[in-house]
Amino acid sequence: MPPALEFDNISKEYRAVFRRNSVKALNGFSLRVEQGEIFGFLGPNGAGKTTAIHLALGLMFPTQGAGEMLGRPFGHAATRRRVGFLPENVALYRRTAASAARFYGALNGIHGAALRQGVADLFKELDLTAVAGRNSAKFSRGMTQRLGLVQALISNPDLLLLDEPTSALDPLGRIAVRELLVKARAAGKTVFLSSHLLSEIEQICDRIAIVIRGRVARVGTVAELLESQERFVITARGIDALMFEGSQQNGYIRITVPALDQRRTIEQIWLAGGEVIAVNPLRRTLEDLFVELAGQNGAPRA
Amino acid sequence: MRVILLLGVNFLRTQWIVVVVMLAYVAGINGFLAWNVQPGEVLVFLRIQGLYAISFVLLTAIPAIHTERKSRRILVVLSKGIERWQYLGGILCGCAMIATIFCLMVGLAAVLGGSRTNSPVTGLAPFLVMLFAASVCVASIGIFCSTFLHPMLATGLASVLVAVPSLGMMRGWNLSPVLFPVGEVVRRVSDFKFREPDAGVWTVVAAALVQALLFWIAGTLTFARRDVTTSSE
Repeated sequence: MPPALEFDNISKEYRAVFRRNSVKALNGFSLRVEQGEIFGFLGPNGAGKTTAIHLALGLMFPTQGAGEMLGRPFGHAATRRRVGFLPENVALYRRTAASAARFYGALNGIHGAALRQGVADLFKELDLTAVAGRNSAKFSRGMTQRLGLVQALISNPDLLLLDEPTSALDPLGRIAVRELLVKARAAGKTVFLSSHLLSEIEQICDRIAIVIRGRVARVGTVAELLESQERFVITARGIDALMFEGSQQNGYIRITVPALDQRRTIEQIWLAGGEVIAVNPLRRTLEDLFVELAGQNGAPRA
Repeated sequence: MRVILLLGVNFLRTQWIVVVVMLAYVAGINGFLAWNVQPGEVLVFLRIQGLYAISFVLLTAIPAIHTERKSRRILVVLSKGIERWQYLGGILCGCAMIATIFCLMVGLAAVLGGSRTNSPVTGLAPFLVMLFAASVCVASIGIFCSTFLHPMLATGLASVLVAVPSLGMMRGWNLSPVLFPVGEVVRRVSDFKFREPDAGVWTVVAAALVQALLFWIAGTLTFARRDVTTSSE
């Protein structure tokens, strides 16, 4: 099975016609997204996330390198029929919501009853049924984003490219979208999710890539990225917390130690008559990792 | 073809204010003429509206791509399973629809004016077909120029491509109507009289449509390799 998305050493440089300076949005960018996973795509502003998505869709062309989407080169029109895309700050035509959704579905080759039914189902799922006849130009940002999701999902795509899909949604909307994405994964679809909402990414993504200054700085499963193999947390009881510089909670003492001191500390707990309950790798939050990587690379914080 | 029609109708919808203003203008002029129209005034009306139609369609076509890019609406459209040539075909199709509406409105106004003055409108249909073909041709030229230039520069280039031969032919330059069909149409429009058209009309119509096709192909070749998410200026 070919990967859902594969970027192979791609660089993209923006050159101004009458200016000498150029901006390198992507610089030797390589990434592989497998089919059937929810893939989180993180990075500070200006890191090249949107550029990568636009390259995959053929909206722009790489200065160097190449890539494939669902087994076909980037920009292949017939393959795009199998892809749903929601851009950041989505802009749609001034039509009624239902008419706009039908228009975008028709562009992807869906017609007749299937199109009408598909629109009705998605409107119901995203709570837009009541406003189906309203002009989408008068929608709030959140409602526009929901309509944007409808147009992305209308052709039942195998791959979803979502650029900040929940940034304008209220908590209930976010939950609905998360459920939708989890359902899509269960149906074998791939979701490529670019977002600044780290908690959301941490919650639903199978793998994550953090892109900094046009390169992938870190990629892996959530556990791989967040669980440090350098520091461990030992949970014990029956000892004095002051002896081990640990924190006490509900009668348990949590001691954070470097990997090299793990064995020695456990032995000390036993010698002191204590009991070791658990030993776990130290788990950082995604925000900690993000800030650490962005800081290391001198990128502005998102 | 279905996609091109869809995009064409959509383009027409996005231009509805412009179309309504244009129709109101033609209707207003027609209403004004209804007071006390003279046979010569219908001809003057037709000549002016003919030249206006060509300019109007050109100025509608040129900013189309730029507006779509600036508004970011192009992102969702081109993320669908459509080719760039279909996208440009849709814009051209929309321009052709606008030209059709305008030509029909002008034709209707001329027929009404003719009936009020009891003068026959011989040759009106070929005139309108010729006008339509020239409008589509200039739309195609405008779209081609706007695939690689900012609308202001594209307007300049397209105006040169259209206006120079047109003005030259009106001043008696002996240019080939097949190579410069829009210039020939402008010359014929500015000199129009109600009479049976000569045989050359259909050659000019065919040449204008072929030229529209060629500029559209050139536009698609240019646009096929353009980044659409950065501005072209």
